[in-house]
Amino acid sequence: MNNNNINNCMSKTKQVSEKQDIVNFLKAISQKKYSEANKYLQSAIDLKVKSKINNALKQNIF
Amino acid sequence: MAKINDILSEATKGILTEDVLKEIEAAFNTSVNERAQLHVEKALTEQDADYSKKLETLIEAIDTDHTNKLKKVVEAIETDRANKLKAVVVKYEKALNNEATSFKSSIVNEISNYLDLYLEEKLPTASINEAVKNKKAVALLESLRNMLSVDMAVAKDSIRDAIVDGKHKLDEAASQLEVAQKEVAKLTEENKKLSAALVLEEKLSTLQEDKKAYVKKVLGNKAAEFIKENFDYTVKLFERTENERLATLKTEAVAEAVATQVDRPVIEEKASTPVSKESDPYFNAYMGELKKY
Repeated sequence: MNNNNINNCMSKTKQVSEKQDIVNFLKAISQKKYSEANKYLQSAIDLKVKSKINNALKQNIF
Repeated sequence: MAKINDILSEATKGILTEDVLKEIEAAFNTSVNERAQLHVEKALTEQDADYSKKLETLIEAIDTDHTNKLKKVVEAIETDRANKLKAVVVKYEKALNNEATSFKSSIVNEISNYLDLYLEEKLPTASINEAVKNKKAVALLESLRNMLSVDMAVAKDSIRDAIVDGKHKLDEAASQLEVAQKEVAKLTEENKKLSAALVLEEKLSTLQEDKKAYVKKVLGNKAAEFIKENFDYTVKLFERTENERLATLKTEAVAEAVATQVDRPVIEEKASTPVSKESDPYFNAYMGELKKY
């Protein structure tokens, strides 16, 4: 029960962080700060890949 | 109205001719007309001035009234427009904020979805799942190897069969050990009983039959140590009880002999009170000793 709550909280936190990264990416693009934009985009993609890996980890192999 | 000609002809009684009268009349009419015109002009002038003043006053009043009214109208219109403009500003600010917020969230979601699709295209979920499964399987296999202590040498069929055979043998040995332990426990119990019986028989061999029966009854099912410790005490207890019984019989026989020497037979009735076991001091002592074990 507690583990499920912790996992849900972590998932929501990751989603918020991912959206914040995209917002920051758009801001940086609009201000022509392409280096920062690249950093935020990379962070967002990293979070997405991590999320996919975590989902895959939840599945049992047997 | 009488004409001037008639008046003059009556006044002059026909002295003046018609021509003179006409001239007089003309002169009179001219003079009257001139004066009348002067009066008219004067009146008109006065009227003009009066009317001009009145008109100016009226115009001023109308101007003032119109000005006030216009000011009020302008103020009312300005207030109304200002309120309407404020409402418009508030509405558009709200709309702008809401729309901007919804636009922001929608564009963020769309970019997020696009990134998801791009990742799905370049890095399919199936591949990630497969890689994770492989990684988990490798880790699981490694942990199983560690847990079962299986290395590459042990993984060979021949060695594995030997290990399995060894395990079977170990299991059989364990079951045999369990059976043997049970038999040992059973034999130990029987040995204890036999040794107790042997000790009791050795000690009873020198005793008389009644003592033997008594002691056998008391110590028959006791352990050998217990018999060794309490045998003498039990025998003494029996001897005391026997002495007491003999003493009682002797007293009773003497009493009967005295009674037969008297002429008149005297019959004594004694209420035989049953001797309770609790009042017997030997019984209590014996039970006290036995309670220790």
